[in-house]
Parts: sequence; C-alpha cells; structure tokens
Amino acid sequence: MGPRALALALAVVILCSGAVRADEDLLMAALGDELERSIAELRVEGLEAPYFISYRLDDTELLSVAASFGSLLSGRETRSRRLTVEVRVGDYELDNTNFLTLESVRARSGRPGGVLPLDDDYRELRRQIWLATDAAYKSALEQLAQKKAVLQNKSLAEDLKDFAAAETVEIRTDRAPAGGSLERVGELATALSAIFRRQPAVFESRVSIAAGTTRTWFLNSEGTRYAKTTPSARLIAQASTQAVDGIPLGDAYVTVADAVDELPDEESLAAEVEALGARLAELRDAELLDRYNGPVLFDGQAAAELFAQLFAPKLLSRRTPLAGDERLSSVLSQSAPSDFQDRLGARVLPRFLSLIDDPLGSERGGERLLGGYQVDDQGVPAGKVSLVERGYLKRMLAGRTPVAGVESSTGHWRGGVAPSNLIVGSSTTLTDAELMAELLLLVEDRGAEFGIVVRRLGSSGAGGGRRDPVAALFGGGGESGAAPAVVAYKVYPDGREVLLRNLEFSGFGAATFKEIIAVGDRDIVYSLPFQPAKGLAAAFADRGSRGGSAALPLVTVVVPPLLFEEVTLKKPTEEIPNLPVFPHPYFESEDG
Amino acid sequence: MRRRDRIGAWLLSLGLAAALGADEGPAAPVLDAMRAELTRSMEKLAGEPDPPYFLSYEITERQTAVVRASFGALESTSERRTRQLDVDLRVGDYELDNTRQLRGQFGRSERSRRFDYVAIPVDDDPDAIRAVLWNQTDAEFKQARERLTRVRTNIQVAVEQEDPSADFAREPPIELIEERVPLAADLDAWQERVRRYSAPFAAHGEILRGRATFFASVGTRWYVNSDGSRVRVSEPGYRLIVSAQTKADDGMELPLYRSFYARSAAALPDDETVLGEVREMVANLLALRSAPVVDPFTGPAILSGRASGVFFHEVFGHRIEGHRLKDEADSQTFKKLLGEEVLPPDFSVYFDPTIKTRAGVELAGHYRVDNEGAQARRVPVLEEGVFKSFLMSRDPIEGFPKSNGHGRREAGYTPVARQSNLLVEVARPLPPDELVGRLLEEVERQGKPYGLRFRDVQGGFTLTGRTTPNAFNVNPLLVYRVYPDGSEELVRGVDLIGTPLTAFSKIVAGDDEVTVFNGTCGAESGGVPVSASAPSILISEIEVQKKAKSQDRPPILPAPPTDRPSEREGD
Repeated sequence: MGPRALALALAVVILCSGAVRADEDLLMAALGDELERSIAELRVEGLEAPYFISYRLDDTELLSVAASFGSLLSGRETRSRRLTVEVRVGDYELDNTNFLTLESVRARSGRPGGVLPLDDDYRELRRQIWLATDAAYKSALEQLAQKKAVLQNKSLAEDLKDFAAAETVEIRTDRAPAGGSLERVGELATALSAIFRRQPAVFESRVSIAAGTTRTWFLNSEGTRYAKTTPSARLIAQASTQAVDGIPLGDAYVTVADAVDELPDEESLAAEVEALGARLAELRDAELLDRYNGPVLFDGQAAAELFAQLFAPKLLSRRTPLAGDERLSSVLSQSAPSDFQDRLGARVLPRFLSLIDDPLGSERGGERLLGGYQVDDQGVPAGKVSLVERGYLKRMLAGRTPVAGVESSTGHWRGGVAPSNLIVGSSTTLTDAELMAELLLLVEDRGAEFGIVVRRLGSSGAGGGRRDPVAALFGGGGESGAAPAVVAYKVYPDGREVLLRNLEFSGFGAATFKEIIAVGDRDIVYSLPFQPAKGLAAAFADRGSRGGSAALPLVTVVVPPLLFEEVTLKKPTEEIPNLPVFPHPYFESEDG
Repeated sequence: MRRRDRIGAWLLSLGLAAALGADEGPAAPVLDAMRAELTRSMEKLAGEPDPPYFLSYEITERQTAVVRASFGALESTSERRTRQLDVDLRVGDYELDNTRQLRGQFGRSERSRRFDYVAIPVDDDPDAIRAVLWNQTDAEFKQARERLTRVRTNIQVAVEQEDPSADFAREPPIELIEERVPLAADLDAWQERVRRYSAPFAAHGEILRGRATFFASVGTRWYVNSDGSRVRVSEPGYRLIVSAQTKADDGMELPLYRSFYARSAAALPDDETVLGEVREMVANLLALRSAPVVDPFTGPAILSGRASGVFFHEVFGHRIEGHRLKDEADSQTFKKLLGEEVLPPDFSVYFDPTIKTRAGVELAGHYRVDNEGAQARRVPVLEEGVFKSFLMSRDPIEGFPKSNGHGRREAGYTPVARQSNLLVEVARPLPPDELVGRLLEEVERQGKPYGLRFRDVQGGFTLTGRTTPNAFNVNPLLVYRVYPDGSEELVRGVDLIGTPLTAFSKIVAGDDEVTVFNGTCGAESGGVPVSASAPSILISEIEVQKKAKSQDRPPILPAPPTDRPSEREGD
C-alpha cells in the first residue's frame, strides 16, 4: 500500500470509528518546518519581521443528529482540519493587535488560516500553511502601520502591553474521543423524540445530539508546543407549546458530557424528556403573575443557570481595541465592556461567599467537573484561580491580551476567554429547611403574602428557548440578562406551593449578586456549553471561522441554592399569539 | 481489502435514511400525508373568517455529496440529506389576496425576501410529517390573514396601481409521479479523481489555488395543492468544478474555472478529457500572469457561445422575468417593447425547461413541473428579432394572465418568475472564421487598433431597480485582443459592462458554434439551476472597464520545498 492509499483509508476510517490517528509527526513537522522558515526568512524589505508566529491545527470530527416526533430530521457526520495562524509584528509592548478599523470590520473573512487537507500530505500542508502565514503577515504589517498612524495623533488611554509574555511549555495530553456512531445517536434521538407522541400538550418538539472530538496541535515561535484532545457530547430536548391564554411556553432539557457513553443512560434520558413534556402540560394552565417584588430562592438548575448567565460572563477580561476611525471610536466607547474590569478589589458577592475557577479539578462530591483542561488554546498551562475572596473581586480570567489590572494570562483562552470549573464556596450555609424558613421570614418581614422559588430557567445551552436548538447550541448564551424563569412556585407561609408560568426578570444583573442573603448547603453541579468572551477585535476576526473547535467549550458551575432578598419578576409584555386554529393531527385522530 | 469494507460501512451509514424511504412506490406515503393534512386544513379553516382559497405544500429533499481536493490532497468529503417544507397559503381570492404588494412600503421585497427553513423529517413517517405541516399551516394562516388586512387598507390609501392584474393565476391540476432517483456516485472513486484533477497545479508554485470539487445532488420534490395537484419529481445533478488561481506580479488575482454538468455521474467527462482541460488551465494561468493589462476600451468584440449565453442571461433574461413588471421599484426595461423589434431579425431567443441537451451538453435548467405546480413549457420570448413574451410564474401581469411554467425557487423562498434553459438561435449563422472576418471589418471601419474576443466567462450580474444604474456586468476569464492582421493576444484585467438596450442594439451577427454555460442563478427566490447556450456573436460596440484588483502582492517567500526534510535541524 503506497502512502496515497494509506491516507485515503485513514480519512474514511476516521469517519467510521473515530479511533484512528492522523500522522501526528508529519503534521507537527509540516507546522514546525514552515514556522522555522517563516521566522527565519519572512520579511518585507524595509519593514519589520514577525516577532511572534503561532499555528494551531484543529482536526475535528463531529456528528450531529436531530429528530422530531419519532422521526429523523437530519444526521450528519463531518471531519475537517482547520488552521489558525497568528502573526504579530512590532513587539510585546506595541504590535498589530488590539486595533480595529472599518476595513477589518467590513472584510469578508477575518482571521487568517483556512481549511487544511485531510490527507496527511506534507507538501500540501506546507503549501497551505505558507499561504496563510503570508496573508497573516501582510495584514499584520498593514494593521501595525495604520495603528502607528493613529497613535501619532492620539495616545492610548491606558498604558497596556499588547501581548503578555508566557512561559514556554511542551505539553501533550490525551483524552478518549467522544465516540458514538451516527446510527446510534440517530436512534437515540429518534426514540427520545417519539416520547412526544404521548404528550398532546406539546405543539412542537425536537431532540438533537451533537458529539465531537477536536484534536489540536499547536506551536509558537516562543517554543511552546502542545497536543490535546477535546471531546464533547451534548443532548438537547426542546419542546414548546402555548398556555391556555396563548402565551408561548418553552422548555428544554440539556445535558452535556465528554463522551456519548457518559451521557445519562437511555432510561434516565427518557424520564427527563417525559418530565419535560409533563412540565409543559402542567404549565399551560398555571397561574400568571402580573408583577412581583420580593425575595426569591433559586434552586437546582435555576441557581446554576442564573450564575452562568449573569455572573460568570462578568469575570472574563476583554480588551477594548484602539479604534482606527472616528466613527468606530464612538461605537466602541458605547459598547465598552462595563465588566468587573473596573471593579477589581470591589465587593461583588456577600462576604460569606468565595469563588474559584479550577481547570484542573475533575470531581466534586462524586460528580464530574467537565470544564477542565491542562493547557489553554494559546499554550498557557491551566491553573486554579481565586476570583472572589470573601466577597471581594481579586482577579479576572484572562488570555494573553492584557487589560488593566490583569496583565498576564490565567490560561483561560478557549476560543475567547472562558471559565473552566467555577466553584462557589460559602462560609455559612443553611439547610433546605432553614433556607425556606429564611425566605418566609423575608416574606413576613415585608408583610407579603408569599415568596417565590425558581427551580428552572431557560437554558443558555438551548438558546434560552430560542426556536432552533441546534443553532443555539453553537451560538451560545448571551449577556443580555437572564433567560425567563420556566418553573417557579409561589410559596406560602403554610408551606403550600402554587405553580407559576411566564415570569421574566426585570433589572436583574451581576450587581444583584452582592445582595444574596443566604445560600444552601448543597452543591449544585451543572455543566453547560459556554460562549467565550472575545473582545471586539477578536470577535470580528473570528467571523466566518466556523470550524476548529466548532462546539462551544464546556463549563461546569458548582453553586449552592441562592436566596436573594429582592428580585422583580413580571409577565411578558409582547403581543400574545392566538392558539392554534385547529388541533394537532396526531392527537385529534387519537381522540376521534 | 479491509479498506473496502470500511467504505462500505460508511456509505451505509449515510444511506441509512435513504434506505427507509427509497421506494415510495404506489403507496406514496409522503404525498398521502401531505394530501391528508392539506384536505384537513382546508376543511378545518373553511369556517374561519377569510378562509384560504388556495393552499399548497412542497417538500424538497436535498441529498448531496461533496468531495473536494486541493493540489492533489483530499480536503473534505461530506454528505447530507435534508427535507424542508414550503407552504403557500392564500386568503382573499384570485383577484386580491394576502400576497399583493404593499405600495409605499417595501412590499414585494418583503414577501419574496422572506426565507424560512422548516425542517421535515426524512424518514417518510406520516405522523411526524403531518405534525410539522399542521404547525406551519397554522402559522401561515395567521400571518396571511393579518397581511390581508394590511393589503385591504393599503389599496384604500395608496394611489391606483399601475398594473391592475390579479394576484394569482389559475392553473389546471397536474398529476405527475416520477420514480425517486437515488444518488449514485462512487465517492471512493471520486476522492481519487478529484485528487488526480487538482494534482497538476501543484507543480507550479505560482498557482496559489488549485481545487477540484465533485458535487452530487438529487433534489426530490413532493407537491400537493388544493386544486388537486399531486407531483413527485426527482432531479439529479452532478457537477465537477476545477478552479485555480494565480496572481500577477502587480497583485491582480487571475482565476480560471472549468465546470462540467450532467444528470448522472457517469456522464461527466472521463479522466483524459478533464486532465486535458486542466493542462490547458495551467498553461492559460501561466500565460495570464504575463499578459498585458487592458485599458478601458470601447469597440467591436466577439463573445463566445458561453460568454453570449451569460450576456443574454444578464442583459435580457433578468429583465423579462414577469413579476418585475408589477414591481413599482423595478425599471421595467422591456415593458413597452412587446411586439417591437429589439434584435436583428436573424435572432430568436427561447426559454425551454423541457429540453435536456443542446450541442451535446446536458442542460442544468431542465425540469418538468415548476415550484407552483405549473407544467414546464417552451416559451418563445423573442422571435425573429421581435420581443414576444415575458417569463411567467402564477403572478399575473397586464397582458399575461397565466403562468408559463417559470415559477421557480430554491427551497425556503417564495417562487417568482425565473429563467430556465436560455437558448439563443441564429437563423442564418456565419461560419466562425467569417464572423472573425466581420470583426476585423468592424475594427477597420471604426478605426480601432484591435477588437476583443471573450472566450470564457465566470458569470455576471445585473441591476434592474430604478434607484440604481440599470447596468450589467459580465466577468470574463479569458479575453484576447484580435489585431487587424487576425493575430490574437491574451490580455487580462477587464469586465464587460453596459446598459441593456444599448448593448442589444449593437448585436450584429452570430456563428454556428453553440456552446453551453451551466450555472446557478441567484435572485430573490434563491439559487436555481439554469443554462444559457448561444452561438458566438459579434457586437459592434462593447465597453470594458478595469476589474477590481487586489492590492496584495504575491507571496513573499517562494513555495515551500516539496519534500519533508528527513531530519529537521535543531531537533
């Protein structure tokens, strides 16, 4: 068998089994040889040579299926290799990055790189790396020249380096691939979606599963190199209906793991999907509140989602780029991150709470933490970071782009700055009974009739109830406030609970977390796909780069039940659609 | 040998769903489910205020396989199969319904730009299909009723409509059940073939892109409507596209494409033919790098059959798509030219979706039923130089109350009148060398230093609105200067531009060498496969302008060495 034939067999086999390796030595040789040549020779006469080059090659296998009402909607198996090239000219103090021009906003494709062949063909790999490096270098030169021109007339508001130094490491880690076959996940999604044939209250439903493994090879001109494997498997069951008065209701069950086999077994999944349908059925004629001000206890999924949606994004540092144009400048100043960046040292949580991010942790009270890794995308080794100590913000998570107060990487660049395993610790906790008593005490205090317990929020992993869960899976959650509460109860002093529906938050943000009154003594361990924070320049550069680690990184949050003294909830204000004019065909024929 | 087994398993997994519903046979579960839900919807909605007077469902399945190689190495292989639903639900009546353009607003654009992706299960399960139909019908009904209210208000407040035509044309019910065609291509073999076809580019460091892509697709459509139509058609299309690009020292990007289309993979050209074309592409790319840049020029030119085809598609085809004549934002170039002579009497132009081949080449614009359940038919749009007809969907315009089978769309869009197979015919063609002779006469008569010859084109575009210049642009790939002594010189860097009526008035003659351009045409109703075929034509005056040019110089370092060093230094 010649080398050609071998390569072909490889490409095909990987689609089948996911078990066969690319010729790693050959890939690293192609990357290394071109890196060496570029650092030694790449230079336009009279202009600066690159001071930093990095290559990242992501070899991704992905399978995704969707099914509805017991029938397959789509099934897809893909494999791709993408190259990401970073070329910096200038020096660590001042280089071509952290700069945004209208041209770069308008440019159709951003970050240099592109598709690499699946064949382990040394010559073609090098050709593509060569061309991508050339393009990246030219655009870096242009950016730096423009940036220097702008800086002749302006000085930077903050004296920050453009690129933080990082230690040189060689790391090789390995993890089992996500596994699974198209047939198997297809059958699973189909079987789970068929459960909705027994749920006449649900108007529309879908079950999708995506599982993939990305193998990454990275090296940079500082001498860092790593190879790592990132597997993930995600299942989303989503259902929607309308309440008896027409207000849309939606809920989703999202579960993530690092392998298809690590997802809950089919029986448990079926029970969750069944429960999802049952919840919606029950919610259809649940009580609707106009408005509520008062104490709210977040428990279970709701506490974890709330923390992930509102608080976690504020912990991610983002650099505001220098604008290459007046018009951009005004846009940038309006959209500048109002994060915790300016509040380092300030109190952001009650004094009894602390928060760490621990990428090296793997387990908590018997439950797995899925956000961990050994080395981040930029080749910075992972390590535990203490973010909030006794209520005070001590540190932000960062990549190698410095921001004020956070001048070196914490090893959290995963396609943008993202947490890994966020763990809330508390010096005082209450048992469930004490927590409920505390809630009722607050109710009594303000002379109110009842308090509220929120048990489920719209899942950020399912787009917070957006229509297309598959798109949402890769689009991630936002920072525009919390998703509506899906399952919430009125709690009366006598312990009676009444189900509520369609509750939206008003004026609730990260700042509210300072007013947490008490927390429970249970750990809620919850994993979800997370949208990393990129900063504007990187976000524009990344447009159109679909591939690489196509899926969002997984993050695990560990939080206790959270009791807030004052939260405002209200019913939706949008127009209410009518109920369906005539009944669902499947359930109509069953009735008749 | 194990390799064979693995590939077998792989194809099986992709064919999984296909096998489940491969033969719908006389049972036709998809059509039956659609029919049943359509009937139920019409019955259930009959009692509502403003019930639908027309309802159609179209389910489009796209089964595709793509195999791509770059410079001899496999880049990607992918396969997918999806189905999506389009619903046309109309309330009101044929005269006035919810689809009427809201004048003084972004009326028609609003309707035709809408894109919906409604996924339908792929495994023929009637209950799952009907669940989606029900949900979508409900949504469409509510929207239609709301829009009808706005339409009724709008006609009260806006000025009288220029074109008083009805909103929808009646069309006799149609019954056409074709066999479902499986996607038939040996992807294993195609992986080898695209590697082979893209490999020759690797021998030249100056060639910066060298790709070969094999696309296989079968589009199956199921269509039912409330007039009683039942249609199932299966439309296969196989393409091989070779694309390559080099860069001149001044930064100009110089692309070349070669594409082949057929209705079966087996009918695509063999290795020898393709590799011959690839060798020619390589030679042309290298020649283009050193070819002189043309300055803006007006003068006589010959357009090859493919170039003339694209020229007619842009200049003429897009301007006779009927629905534009109702759009009060459109320039309506040909509206008042019905019955007028717009070309020399030698020239006739037809749109004919019913024919499958011309000049030995299979035509991409073939279909039997359009996306509105109207039978495909031949439309003589220009006969003996006289403009006769517009292309019509079921959206009537003044003087053309009926569809002529050109209501087309890409799944997810709203159908409008679109082109099919454009055929230019010349009654008394000149032999090719005589056409060149006529070109040289024109060069001499106009006192020009040379004429131009457009041998190949990439495509083109045109603007038909009122607020933009009413212009067209054809992007040539291979252009030659033809000097008075008949010698030809390859040049680069120009686009063919102009305005439609002027360009038309300069057409002089054609030869008998018909060639075919197969492509995908993009417009308001998405991308639809079309062809344009024509003989070479002589135009007494064309205009070329400088092509937009990249400012990036060629790569700084030479192409890397091709062999992996046995041992890297410093390791």
